Amino acid sequence: MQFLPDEAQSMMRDTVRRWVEKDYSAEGDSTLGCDPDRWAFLAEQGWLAAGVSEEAGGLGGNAFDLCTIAEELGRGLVRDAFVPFAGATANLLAQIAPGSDLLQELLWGGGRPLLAHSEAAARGEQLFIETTARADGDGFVLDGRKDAVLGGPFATSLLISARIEGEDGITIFQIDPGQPGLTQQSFRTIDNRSACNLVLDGVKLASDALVGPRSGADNALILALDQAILASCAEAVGAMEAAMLMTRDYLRTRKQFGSEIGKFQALQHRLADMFIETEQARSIVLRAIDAACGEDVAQRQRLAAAAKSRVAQAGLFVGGQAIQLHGGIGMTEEYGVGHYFKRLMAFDLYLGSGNAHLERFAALQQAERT
Amino acid sequence: MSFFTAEDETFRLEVRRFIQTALPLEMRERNHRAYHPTRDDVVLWTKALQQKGWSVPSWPIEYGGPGWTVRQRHIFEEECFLGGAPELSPQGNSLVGPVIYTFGNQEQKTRFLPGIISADQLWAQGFSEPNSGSDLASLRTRADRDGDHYVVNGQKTWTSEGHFSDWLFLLVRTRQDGKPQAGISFLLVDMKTPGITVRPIISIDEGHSLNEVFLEDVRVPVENLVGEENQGWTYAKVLLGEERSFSAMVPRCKMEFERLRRNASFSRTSRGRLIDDPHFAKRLSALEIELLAHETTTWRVLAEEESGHAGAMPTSSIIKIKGTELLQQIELLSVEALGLDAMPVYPEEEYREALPATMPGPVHAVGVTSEMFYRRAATIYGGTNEIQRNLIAGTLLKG
Repeated sequence: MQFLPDEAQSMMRDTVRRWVEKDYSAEGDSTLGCDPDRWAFLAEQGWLAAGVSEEAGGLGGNAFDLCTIAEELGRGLVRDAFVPFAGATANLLAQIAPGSDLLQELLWGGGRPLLAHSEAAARGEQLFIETTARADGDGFVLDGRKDAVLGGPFATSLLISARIEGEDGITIFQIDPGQPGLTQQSFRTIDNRSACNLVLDGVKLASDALVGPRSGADNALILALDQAILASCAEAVGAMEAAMLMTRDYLRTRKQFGSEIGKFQALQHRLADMFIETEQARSIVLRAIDAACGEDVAQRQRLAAAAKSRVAQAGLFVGGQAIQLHGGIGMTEEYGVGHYFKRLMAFDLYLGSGNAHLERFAALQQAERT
Repeated sequence: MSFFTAEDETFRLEVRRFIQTALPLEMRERNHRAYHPTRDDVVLWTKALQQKGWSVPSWPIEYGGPGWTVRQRHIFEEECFLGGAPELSPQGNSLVGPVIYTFGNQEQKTRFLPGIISADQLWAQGFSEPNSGSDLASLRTRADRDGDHYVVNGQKTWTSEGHFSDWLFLLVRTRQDGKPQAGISFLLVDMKTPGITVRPIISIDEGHSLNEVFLEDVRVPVENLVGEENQGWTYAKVLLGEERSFSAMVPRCKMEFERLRRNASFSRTSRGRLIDDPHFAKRLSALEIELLAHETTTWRVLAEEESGHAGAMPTSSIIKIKGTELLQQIELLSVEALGLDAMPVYPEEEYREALPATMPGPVHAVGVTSEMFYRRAATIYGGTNEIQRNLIAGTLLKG
């Protein structure tokens, strides 16, 4: 089991960290939620391809590589939708369309296809969707909706999951964002990123809109979503560590009652608990990465659920206490420690809450026993 | 068993009926969304209550209050919250008003109390400073005597509603030597006085209720000193220990619990409504049980207050800690219940007055996440929960 990055991964981590600290700035981003040039730079660096195998067209890395990058982006609260594109979508396409132009564009620049799968009622139940496709001559007609698609406004094409009427599995359809019948409502998220809701009202598609196997994307979807969960957990760990260290620095400098507030034992213990929670979160993510690199599919799912459940719990504690230990200043939008809490709250809501994944873990364990 | 008598329940119905008839519907909807109240709403509602003689609910009759019992006050507060009324300005009602009628002179009572009762004058508090939060007594804003004026210089912060208030009550340093607590005075300042600058502080809910107040050579007539010079700390301490301000946590928790229940009944899962999901129901119940216990603790404190035999324990600290932490848990679960509908920002500026034509989520989601973010401050303001725990432990260990 890998605990630490190897030499190449360390170099990559340092490069990402330097970029985040020195060059990254979301100032002046359009409402798309990202800057196309910046995104092209991420692609050029190979960061979008880091977690994709060579056979599929990637750099040949694994979940460890992906999570190493995600952690650094989380540490800097980078707004770009790295996880939805490089985690969920890249992983899905690597399974159902390896070597395709669509995947090549995503990984190396040129296009930004994005999986649009999430529906509010699913609440983390990964295969629950109500979007339908009806056969219509050679093509299909899609109806339904997708909610809070992170990075949606920045996508150049959308990969919509739907169930073809009368068939069992899930199919992925590629749609142009300007397609008639598709309404896109963009919004800013609580952690200042960009997302959209999509309403599909009789969207007519030709048969070549289908990506991957007809009614057979289910297993690939689960793996892709779990990969995204893992990468988002790594982002959260980065955010937690940054919030914890920012709090430590504040305890060393803020003075009340004639001394640094870090001298007060109640606050020392809280800081220690924040550290412990961060480390627990890191451990469960490493465990889940290990499972994701292995062959045991059931284990992989269980550990992804475990990671989400545990990291979400730790994240809300660490983010909340980071504000608490800062006191009033932590409540201001300007100071910034509260932004970690907001990111960690949004992380909990993304792809099923920590509690939803706790239930999922229990159900998977139960299924294993029976 | 109930804490309330039959007369209390009759009173409750009277209050409820009054709110139903006197509170405009849009105002109720606005307040149920829980954004920071506007000046217009506060003034309008205070004036409506004034017609009934209810605009300063905790004040004694001789100063224009209704002279209610502790229980009636609690009932009133609860009905107002649950009925969607805007919160009465706590700065005037619970803070400076009682200080003026307790420690002020006759002239000050005549001059200032009517404006609080009618909300013609709204008040803001200038206590905290950037370097004086929990350690309030270390405050450095100074007032130097110059003839029949004080000249005030310094900076105050976390001034709620400072951007739409008319008057400011300040703790200032009037003596530099001796114990820090011993050189503090309590001043009343007209916010139109030259030298006062108010700057907004946007809080993490992206809302605006807090402000910084800069004071530069602000000349305040000496007749605006409350009580004696250098005795301000004793007056302020009365406020800071005021149990009444904490019992308000119960109605707020109840209101937010209702909102949580409503959100959970709107939210769907693959099997139906979220509220019917056994896992979720269990978590909801755990909070409801905590709320029952908390409400009962609050009743016990109110009963103690009523009997006039205060116990040795700092019971207000228990209420403050439990009430605020429970509120945060309720609101966090409320956000979780919304699921993806909690993802969009519903900014106060665009959603407070009326809802926009198109929204990225359902009506019931509006204001839920911002309220949760704002209430992270609940465990900080009014004496941090860490300070409150110190008080409890300190009292226990002394006993």
